[in-house]
Amino acid sequence: MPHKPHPIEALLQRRILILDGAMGTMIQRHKLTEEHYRGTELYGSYRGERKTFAGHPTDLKGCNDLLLLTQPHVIGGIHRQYLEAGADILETCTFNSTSVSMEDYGLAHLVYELNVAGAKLARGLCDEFGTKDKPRFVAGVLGPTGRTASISPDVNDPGARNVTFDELVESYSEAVRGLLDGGTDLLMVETIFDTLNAKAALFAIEQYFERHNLRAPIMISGTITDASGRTLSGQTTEAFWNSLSHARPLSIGLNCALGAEMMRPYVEELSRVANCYVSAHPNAGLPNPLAETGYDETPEKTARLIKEFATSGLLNIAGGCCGTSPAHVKAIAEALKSLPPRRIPDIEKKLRLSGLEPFNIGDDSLFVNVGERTNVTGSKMFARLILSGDYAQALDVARKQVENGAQV
Amino acid sequence: MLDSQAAMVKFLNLIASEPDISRVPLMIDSSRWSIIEAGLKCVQGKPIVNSISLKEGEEAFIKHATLVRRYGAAAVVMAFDEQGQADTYRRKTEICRRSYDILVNRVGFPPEDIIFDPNIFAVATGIEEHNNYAVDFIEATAWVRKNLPCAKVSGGVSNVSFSFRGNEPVREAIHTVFLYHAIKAGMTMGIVNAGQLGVYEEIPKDLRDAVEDVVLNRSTDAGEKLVQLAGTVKGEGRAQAEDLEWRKGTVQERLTHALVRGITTYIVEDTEEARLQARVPVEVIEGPLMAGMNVVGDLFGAGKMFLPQVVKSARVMKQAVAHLVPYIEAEKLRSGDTSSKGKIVMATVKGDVHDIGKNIVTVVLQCNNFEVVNMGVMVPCQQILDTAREHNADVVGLSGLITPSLEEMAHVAKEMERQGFRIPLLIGGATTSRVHTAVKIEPNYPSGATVYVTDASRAVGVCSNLLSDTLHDNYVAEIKSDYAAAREQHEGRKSKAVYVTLAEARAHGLKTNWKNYTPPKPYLMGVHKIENYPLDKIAEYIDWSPFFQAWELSGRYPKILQDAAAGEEARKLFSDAQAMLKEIIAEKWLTANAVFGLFPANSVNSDDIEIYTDETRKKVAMTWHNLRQQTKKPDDIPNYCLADFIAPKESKAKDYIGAFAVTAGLGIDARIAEFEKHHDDYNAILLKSLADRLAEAFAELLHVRVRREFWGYAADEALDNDALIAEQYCGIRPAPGYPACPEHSEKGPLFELLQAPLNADITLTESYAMLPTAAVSGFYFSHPQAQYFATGKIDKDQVADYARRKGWSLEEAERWLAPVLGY
Repeated sequence: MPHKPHPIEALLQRRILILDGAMGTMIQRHKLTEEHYRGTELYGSYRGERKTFAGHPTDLKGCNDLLLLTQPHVIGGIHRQYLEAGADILETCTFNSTSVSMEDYGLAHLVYELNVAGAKLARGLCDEFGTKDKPRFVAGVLGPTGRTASISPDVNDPGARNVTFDELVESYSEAVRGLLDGGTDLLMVETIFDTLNAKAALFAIEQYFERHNLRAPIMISGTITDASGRTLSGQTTEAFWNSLSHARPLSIGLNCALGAEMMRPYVEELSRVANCYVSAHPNAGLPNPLAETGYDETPEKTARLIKEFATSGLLNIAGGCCGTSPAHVKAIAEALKSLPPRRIPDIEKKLRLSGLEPFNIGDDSLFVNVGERTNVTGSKMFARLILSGDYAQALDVARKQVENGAQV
Repeated sequence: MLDSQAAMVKFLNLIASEPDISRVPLMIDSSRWSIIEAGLKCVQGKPIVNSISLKEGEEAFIKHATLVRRYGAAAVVMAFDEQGQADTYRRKTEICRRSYDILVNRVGFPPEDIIFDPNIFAVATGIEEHNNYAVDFIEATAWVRKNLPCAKVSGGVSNVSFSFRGNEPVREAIHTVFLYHAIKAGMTMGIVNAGQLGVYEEIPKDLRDAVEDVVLNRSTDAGEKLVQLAGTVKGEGRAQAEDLEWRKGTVQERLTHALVRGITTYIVEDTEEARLQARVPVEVIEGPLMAGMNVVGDLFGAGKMFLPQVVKSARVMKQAVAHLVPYIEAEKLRSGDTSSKGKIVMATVKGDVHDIGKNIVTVVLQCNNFEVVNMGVMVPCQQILDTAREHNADVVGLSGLITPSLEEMAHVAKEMERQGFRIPLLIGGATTSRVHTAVKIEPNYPSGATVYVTDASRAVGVCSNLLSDTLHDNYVAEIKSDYAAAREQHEGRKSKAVYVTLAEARAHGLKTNWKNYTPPKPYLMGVHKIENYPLDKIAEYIDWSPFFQAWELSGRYPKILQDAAAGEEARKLFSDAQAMLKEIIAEKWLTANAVFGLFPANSVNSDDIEIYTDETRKKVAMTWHNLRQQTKKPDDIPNYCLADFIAPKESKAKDYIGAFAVTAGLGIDARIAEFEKHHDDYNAILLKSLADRLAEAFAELLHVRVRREFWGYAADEALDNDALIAEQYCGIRPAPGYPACPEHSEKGPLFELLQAPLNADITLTESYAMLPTAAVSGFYFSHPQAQYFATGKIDKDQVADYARRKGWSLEEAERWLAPVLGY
């Protein structure tokens, strides 16, 4: 497919772009009530169109995306503050606007509408703030959903799943349609803790692009959930990149979880392996249950840490996640103002595979062994095990194979 | 009936919960697309699909390829088309070419994600047409690797020996020989039973020859001959016969054999025998077992052993070590040495899986009462450092075998420095070396000691020294100076350090007979400026060798242009440089200004030079403080100081000195900014390096004119550029900050003397760096004995004396003289 560069790419070559900060923890500051969420009570003053959900059977408090319909001025106000703080890219308030997530509130039927509303709201503000010298971009957010396609919800049955790839593709397709109809510039698959979910989102995006003969730049941002440097689903940073690079994204990055300080080695790794732009939008430090928003890293500290990323040449896009505020974004924008963006390195073309760990095969690699024994046509014993439903034994065969040096 | 689709999904979901299995990429193998697709939906990593092909025509092929891509997988592409599976070389290559073109040009499939399977068929089936199948595959493999960029080759290996079902020894030999040749031809990967592979070198020669005849189709009756031979090696008989053979060797031979073949059966027995012969149990590891592993390493390196076999060797090694551990523990108890001597965190760095050496070091250290936290392989930098912190480790040890690990080690060292570590860092592994450690790793970690450990046997000594209260400081200092020396040696220099006192050094200065020598008087005295010097004239004086060095192409110009390794790059760079130089000159990108002065001067107090405003020699315009070599020299070689080349005041001789500052970098900033705006680092750096060369060339040119015209003591000098570069002229022009006068702050008075900011637009930063950077400043000496030298390290008495002369505190002097402090 011919690739027509999006205007944002020219900008990314010139400088580090600023992404906005947290939405959820900013909404918390308003201390909204159930009535506010339902829209039956107006927060502050607003004269535009609103929806109400007076008779909805379940509690709606905490369903932030719904505020797009019931209190749009609250979300718009936060967007506005981030744009004033200097954000180049505004993330839509659609983190949970997928049917898989909205089912929990019984609001799955609103998914398309929410995504359109989220994109439209951000679009309007970006158009208002954008100038020729500093255009603003809407990033339509596709969240991780609350379910995982490659992790079992049941400790006693590791083979069980509470969502399938196909269900996720369907769910993400609806969200993608809404975001693009609402006028988003970019699509952002973020806070990925299960790479298979992200693959479903990217599959949905690609399929949508193909069917509608269009393209939009894709941003991907994963989440390293603990200090072992792996995603929740167990992948290392490079394995994560290998799994998703097929989407030819505009950027790959990390967000949430650890805070800037502990995120550094993994951003550095991405910066080294990825042949696209690199983003980072960390939390304001590690969660601190005593702080009001749950996070207490000051704007100065976050900015100082991120500045160091940029000075080391690791960054193209930076912003904040949970616990960050317009002050954080402003400090980050200030700190990065005169620093040059990371140059995309020339990455050697290799067959870059991954399981939980990366496995790269280049022209000068040694011979690679592919295990042959877990093949129902190649191995009679394995076929017998599968046929008789003895999966424990079958797994043993696979494990032995890997122990014996099978690399694939 | 097997519900393949459900079975695939269930098995993959189960695998996803087994990190031991799912750490490696998967290959999803099915002849049915729907099963493949179901599998793709369960895998978070990037797997390989096996396979897609043109079997059902282009449309299906394109559809499948597009989806494979969308699911984020690589694909095995079978040499299979609408007519069927390719069997000959011609068909194989035709189909691969056609598939490749469709994938790359029409689907946009990345070529590096294509793995061709040009079909491995059974040979020696008795059917003549089949005899060339292995050769066809091997040749098609070579063709694919040569003609289809980035594409890989795979195949199902066991097919090739299908005719010998039931005769495992022969099958194993066929697989081994086949792979040996196919890998040489470029086969990237293969579906193999790792347990069914032998070592090419170890197949009995008669069998290997017979198999090779079959695989390479070297004679028409090869198949029959192998069938006959197969009868004699059928079943387990061969293995037993061989067993008896190798069991007759020495302990060392048996251990080596077991390690190379991965046989654990007798390892405990043999290890025990070796232990009984050894003085202490550890010796078995350090001696015979290591020797065996070295053989494994060599075979592996030569491509005669494959990774799975090496893994098996490691398993044998581990069993041997496990047998020894209790004895080693007992030995520790016996020698009464039980307290931990210190805690060491060991890891094979990220990107590297080789840990045999490191594990041996771990064992040996543990045997010697060190507590070792062995973190395993592929450990990311941050994890190592976090663990070191968490365990309050005394030492961090890094290991690695492959060359990229060297870089990672340098990275860890840098991070240790950045994160404020002080504890020692040990470096080990086959590709590491003392020089590499000294040059590439140690400088990254100035706050701690970095030590290269040759092998396991040295590790104990190194750690004992590092963790000893009494020995540590000396040891570290020793290592540091050893590495400094290694670095210098690496840079082609050597240094030794025995100092004489400053008084002794002065007494041993250059003896010049000033009575019989009249210093030449300059024609042109005072300060003079030169503005806007023609760049084309300057360019004629460029010395190109340092230009290539700046680009890390080391070698002398013009020889570097013909260098076997770097020549091509050097030629490209040189032609770019010439083109830019033309532009610089034609479009006057840069402005070259200079100022020079020639003054009456005499040396005073042995090491200082007084520069006078006029011939009355009453008013001192500047006192230039110099340093004297202080290392012990042979009697006939003086301890030089630049002041030796100027007549001392008490000699009453009227001597002179020159001073200069030149730049060729005025106006460069705008050009650099322009390049940088377009992210053109290459040209920005090229311009900077050319400006530097022009400034040096300008200095050379001005020096020529000073010698011939302005000072005029060498009016008839006629040297070409090579001779100038070789410094065949009389006199020198040392620059503050360079070896003969390494202290930078003297540039301050020099610039005042010349009014350089005003006269030549060159200024100094607070640390005495010149702006523009493409600038050179220094002094001229005319004395025939004047020569360049390196002051080298100096001792404390001279530092104190220098501080007194400069009016500095000792600390201040030590700060400015840090690079030359010899204590």
